[in-house]
Amino acid sequence: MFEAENVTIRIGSRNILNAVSAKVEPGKLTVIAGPNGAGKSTLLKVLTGELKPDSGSVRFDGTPLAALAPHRLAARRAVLPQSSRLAFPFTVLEVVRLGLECRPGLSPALRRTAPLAALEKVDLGSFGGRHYQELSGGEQQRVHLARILCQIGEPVVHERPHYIFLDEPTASLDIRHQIETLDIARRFADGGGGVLAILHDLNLSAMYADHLIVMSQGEVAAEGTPRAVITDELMESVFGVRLKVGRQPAGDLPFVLPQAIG
Amino acid sequence: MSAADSTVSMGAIAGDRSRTAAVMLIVLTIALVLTAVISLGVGPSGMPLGRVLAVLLAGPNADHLPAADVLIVWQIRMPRVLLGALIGASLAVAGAVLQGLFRNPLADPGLVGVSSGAALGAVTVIVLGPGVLAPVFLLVGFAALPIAAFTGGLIATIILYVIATRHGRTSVATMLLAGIALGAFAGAGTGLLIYVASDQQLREVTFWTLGALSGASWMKLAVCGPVMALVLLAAPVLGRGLNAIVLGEAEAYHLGINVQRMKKLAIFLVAAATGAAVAVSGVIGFVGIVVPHLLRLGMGADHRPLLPACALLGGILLLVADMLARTIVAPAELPIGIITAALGAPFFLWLLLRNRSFVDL
Repeated sequence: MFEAENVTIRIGSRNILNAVSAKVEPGKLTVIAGPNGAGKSTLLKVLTGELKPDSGSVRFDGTPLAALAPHRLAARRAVLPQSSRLAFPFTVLEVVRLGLECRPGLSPALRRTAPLAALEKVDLGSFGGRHYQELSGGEQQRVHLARILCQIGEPVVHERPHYIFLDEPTASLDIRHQIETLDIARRFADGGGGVLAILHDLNLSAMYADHLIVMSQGEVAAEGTPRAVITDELMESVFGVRLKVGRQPAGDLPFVLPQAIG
Repeated sequence: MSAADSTVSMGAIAGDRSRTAAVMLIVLTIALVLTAVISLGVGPSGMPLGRVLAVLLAGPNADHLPAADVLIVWQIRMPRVLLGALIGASLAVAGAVLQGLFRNPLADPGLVGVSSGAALGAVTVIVLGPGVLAPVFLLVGFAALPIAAFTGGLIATIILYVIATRHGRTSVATMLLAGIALGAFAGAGTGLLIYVASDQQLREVTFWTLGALSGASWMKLAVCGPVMALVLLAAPVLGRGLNAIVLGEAEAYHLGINVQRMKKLAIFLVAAATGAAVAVSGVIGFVGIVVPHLLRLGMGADHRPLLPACALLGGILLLVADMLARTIVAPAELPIGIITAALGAPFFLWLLLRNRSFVDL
């Protein structure tokens, strides 16, 4: 389990994160939502160890993150960045293979097949030989998803859960691939792994999240199940829009339509 | 360009270029050996290939062959060829490592001021060695010059990195401009030293600024060769980290790379390679940019095969340039730096034009 406790990040005199506590638990799909500039990406960066908090602590299974060697951490958690531009002409297969760099113990057979299987999973099975730089933004994002799937392997290995962190994984994807990407995350959590995703789409968050954290101005504004968190009051207090939250009759899942603005 | 055109499928798996890379490594190794043997025979007193081989096989102490041939091959040309190959290899590997570290294909020790820093170090020792720095000279003797060149290169690389990289992202424009400033500053220092130099020192200094292999000897090889050889052996260790850092420093960390340690090692190796090369040959430009780029076109950008391939092709390129330097104005010879710059500068411009949209200047 990844655990941030009272984490504060300061830039100049401004607190980007203000005494934030959050958990990423195995077997759960945790979603962070919130308006632009709320500190979502910063919180993700703190939890992955990319940013060191000015105060507060971040632990992974009880050990402070700072005390863990990068390769030990990389064996248990993978991170999907928002966007990544490559300076050199790598093929799609070569980018996906980078995910295997931190898995020295892998058998040669798996080393050969794992990247192909990962590409198949993100619907890019025939893209291995293409040059990464020639792909569209959405396709590039799926290449990186395949790369982190290669890195992390199964959701649970030797009874130890693995984790994936996704920073806006659906940002430049069409609706079909948004759903497919989140289905992959869903299956990973159902398989016993932990998932943390930043999502802008509240409807997708409601559909997929087990635990929803809504951030606002560097603090956690609300958290819990989507149906408890996404309310008319939250839409107004956090997002500043008077929007009536709908309820799906079947599952009681909340949904938000911009057309419902009042 | 259609999808089919841009597909790379030379190996069994689409997009897998490791087999191409392996073949290229073998071809380059053979080519380097051939080039070395050929360049042993090239010079004011030309020697047919058969005689070169005979002298080589007979060893440096053969007495049944003409003494002049043995002397030319073993005492004059051999250290020069070995040094040339090592220098070319070091410069090309330093270029590839620097490009990987800065995440862009335009970094080169010569262009971004690393070589200028190393040259300033070397010139400082030449000019101030007999006077102000005499005690230091006594202390470290022959190694003073390479150490000074290394220190100059190291300082330049560190300054460049600190200036050009913010939050793990390197601005190409900042890097090139900072390189110009560093080069100019080191040039000013070198100029000042030239101003106070004696006539004899002046001749030596000119040799540094132009870059030449003519001073090659077994002695210089013994001092600088091991450093370059060590760097070449150590560089492949960086391959994995450089591959990961292509995605960005944060991404490399997420992939399990100890980024800070890797960067320090990379900067140290670049400075050692450039410093050792500059100490024996002066500033030889553009090898570090031409060689990695040509190889990436052929075998892709995976640094694990790329770094050894750079060493091989760098050696070949410098040996060919040296043969040109020895024959164009024979029996005199041109400084090799003139030839690499004359060939490399247009190549660099072509590269800039091709990448204009990408480098975003």
